[in-house]
Amino acid sequence: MRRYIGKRLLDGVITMWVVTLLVFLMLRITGNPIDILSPPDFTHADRERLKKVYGLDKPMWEQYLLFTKSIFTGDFGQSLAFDNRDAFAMFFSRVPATLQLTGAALLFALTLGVMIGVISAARPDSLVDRVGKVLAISGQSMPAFWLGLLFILLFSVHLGWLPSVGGIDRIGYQGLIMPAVSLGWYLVAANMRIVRSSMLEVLDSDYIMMVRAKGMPRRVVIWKHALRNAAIPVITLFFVSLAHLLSGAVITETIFAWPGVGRLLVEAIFGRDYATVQVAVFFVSAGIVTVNILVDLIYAWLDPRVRIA
Amino acid sequence: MRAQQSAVHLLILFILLAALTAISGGGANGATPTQPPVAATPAAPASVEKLTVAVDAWGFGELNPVQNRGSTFLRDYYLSLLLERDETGAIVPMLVTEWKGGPEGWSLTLNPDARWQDGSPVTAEDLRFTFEAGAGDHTNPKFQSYPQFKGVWAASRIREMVDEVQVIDPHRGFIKTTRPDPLFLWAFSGIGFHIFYTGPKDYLLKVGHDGYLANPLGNGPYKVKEFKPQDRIVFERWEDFWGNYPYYKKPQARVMEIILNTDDAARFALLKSRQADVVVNIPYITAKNIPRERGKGPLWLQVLPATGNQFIGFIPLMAAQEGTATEADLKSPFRDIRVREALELAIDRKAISEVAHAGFTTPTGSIYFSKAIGWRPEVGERISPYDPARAKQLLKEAGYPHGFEAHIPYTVFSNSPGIKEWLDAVAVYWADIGVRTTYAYHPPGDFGPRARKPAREWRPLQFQTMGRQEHAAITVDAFFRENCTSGACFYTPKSNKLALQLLETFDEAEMLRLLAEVEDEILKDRLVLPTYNAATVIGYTDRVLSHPFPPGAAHWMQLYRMTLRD
Repeated sequence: MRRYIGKRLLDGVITMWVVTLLVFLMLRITGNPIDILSPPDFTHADRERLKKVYGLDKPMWEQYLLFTKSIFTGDFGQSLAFDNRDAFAMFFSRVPATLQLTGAALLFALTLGVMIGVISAARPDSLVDRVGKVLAISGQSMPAFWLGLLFILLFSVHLGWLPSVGGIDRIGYQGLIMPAVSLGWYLVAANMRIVRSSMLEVLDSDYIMMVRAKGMPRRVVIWKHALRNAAIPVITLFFVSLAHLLSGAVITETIFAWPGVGRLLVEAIFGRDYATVQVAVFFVSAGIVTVNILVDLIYAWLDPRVRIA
Repeated sequence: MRAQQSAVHLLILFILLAALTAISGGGANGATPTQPPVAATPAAPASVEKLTVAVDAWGFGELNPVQNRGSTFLRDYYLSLLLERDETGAIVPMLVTEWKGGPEGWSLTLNPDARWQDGSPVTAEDLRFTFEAGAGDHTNPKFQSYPQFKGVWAASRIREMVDEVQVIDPHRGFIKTTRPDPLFLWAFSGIGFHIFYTGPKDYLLKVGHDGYLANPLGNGPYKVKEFKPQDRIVFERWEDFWGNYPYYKKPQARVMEIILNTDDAARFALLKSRQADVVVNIPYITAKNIPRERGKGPLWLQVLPATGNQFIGFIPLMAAQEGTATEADLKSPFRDIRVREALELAIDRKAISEVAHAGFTTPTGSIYFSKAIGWRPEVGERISPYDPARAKQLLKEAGYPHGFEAHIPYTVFSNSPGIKEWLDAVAVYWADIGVRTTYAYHPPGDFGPRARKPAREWRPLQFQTMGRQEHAAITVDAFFRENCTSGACFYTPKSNKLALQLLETFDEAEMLRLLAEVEDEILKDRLVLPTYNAATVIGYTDRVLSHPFPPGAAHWMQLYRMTLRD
């Protein structure tokens, strides 16, 4: 097991290194920030001066060495697009909003997906099954931005029930409802399908028949005995979705002006804000790699065949 | 079972249709449950609690007046410009009450009442410090160095234009220019660009850049209460604000929040749901049914006709003049003036403005922005007729009876909607005369460097803005002379000579004459094809009673002049 853990950690480090190298190169290949954001009447001398001021006139290898050093020292430099603020602080100031949105979206997706999945499996072809499936699949069929705009139109413009701009610090917890639902709805279908297929399999198993034969009430059979065993793939999906959403729900954050990591990252990329992009990609990648390693380790712990393979 | 399935499907379909019908009902002007009935214009109270503004962009959200990479209108609210333009367009005092220019430089007298938000006076020392610290890493022995600040984005311009800043007394300074510079105030005072804001010397030296970001100190009507870069900013009224001009005084709203939301639909929804009082940059197609005056519906709008004069530039001509022409350039059809004339005649510019732009833009025949000093109505309003038959004839005469292929790279700066629609229409018009046109979007930062000398990569055509210049001489300096400041220069030897004379002329009449001559020369050779003056639509709820701004308020729109009802 130790060897397996060591191997997965090494894989993770290599992945991180490749990601950071790619980001470093791609940012610089697509242009430097001074050229990107300078207005039409910005003089050539102004551009050259600013390149020098921000160290962008240095050779690329020297810039890469500085960046690599920053990973070890924790000093990721100053943001170019955001007032020379500390890039590390800028990134982490946006993390809570992303965690709030991601958490709420996953909670919504999990709750609704599991409920519909269980009911669908327990009562296949019933009215609830059909309506649930349509709802779930409609979420998967509609892009999050479209769903978000429909929600805004209905709940903000026409009904005036919910605010549609800003994070929790501006509009309170009710501001989470629309972005979280429009972001999480996509995952409802995935959760629902996994739960439904797992439940159908489990409900057909011998031990469930045994429990039923003993006269256990139907709801206890379904919600306690069957769901517990059918939930393992859902937990896997939860972690994968979490990792995916951590990188930022860019479009949802844009529509709802949610002050999260995704929006920051997009703004930073458009501004070729090397420091902020690099720190954001580094920590988001680290988060995703860590989650993946944890999932692998849990699998290996649960099933020894995995680590032998 | 089948009947049950059908019933379920029908029910779901009905629910979806009902929801869609409900939410799509009512146009931009339609009343909704959240919108109160329209009332007669009430009197504005002396103070209201909050003004919320949603914008699509605010430029570089950088607060420090002596260290920044670009312009942002956010500084207009906690810092003061030197001069301003009132709603008639006249140049009026702000921090500076008297100004006088000459071949040696400019004398400026500061308002003795002007104060920083800590109560200390704004002095000529602050002015000198701002120029010197803003110049960044300079070599001027007459400048004090402030290496702790990286300078402002116009540092090179300061170093090129300013020889020395002399403090005559606490409220009077003299800016000695490196050469006779009639455009100095247009560049630095705030009446042209918004690039220069005086910074508090003592405070900045005490707290440094990071300290300033944590607690910005200004001299404008608002204090910065909260700022999240590229997200939102909250201003709180400075109750002891010194400004007592009719156009620059303590604002009515105690709190002003500006929210950045780049999505057009979501931003407009903020206005319709009354979460924002003002929304900047509403797409033309969305705005076309909103009344242009208050009192005719729950929403109203104003048009800011100042977001750039758009033009098509013919690059092979300039490449040949600069000695960088390729073989393709030398064979390019665009080198023939008949072709360039044909392309102009093939476009119905009035129809594009009326239909594709819903009447919000104005077709132009001028290379200058329509509200700029130096713009001539007889040129600007002289739009070539739409004459595809004549255009075809010209192409035939030029040796292109079956047309040719053209490609137009373009970009879109913020507050410039409608460019894609314009190009869509032009491609159709040019197809009618056999010119098969494609076009491709490039982000501004990608477009700009590749459009400029020495790259001049976009050939044979490029579609771009001349910016939002309130004085036509700035346009000439930026675009219509050799070594122009933008790098995307279009000129002839004659226009270049005229431009150089123009840029040293203090005499206003002579300046206007030279501006006219430069324009005639550029248009005579059809070096560029002027298309239209862009415009930004600003939408308001009926809570906003008035929002006066200068007719050519090119750079920003003085939100502190707005009045609201409770």
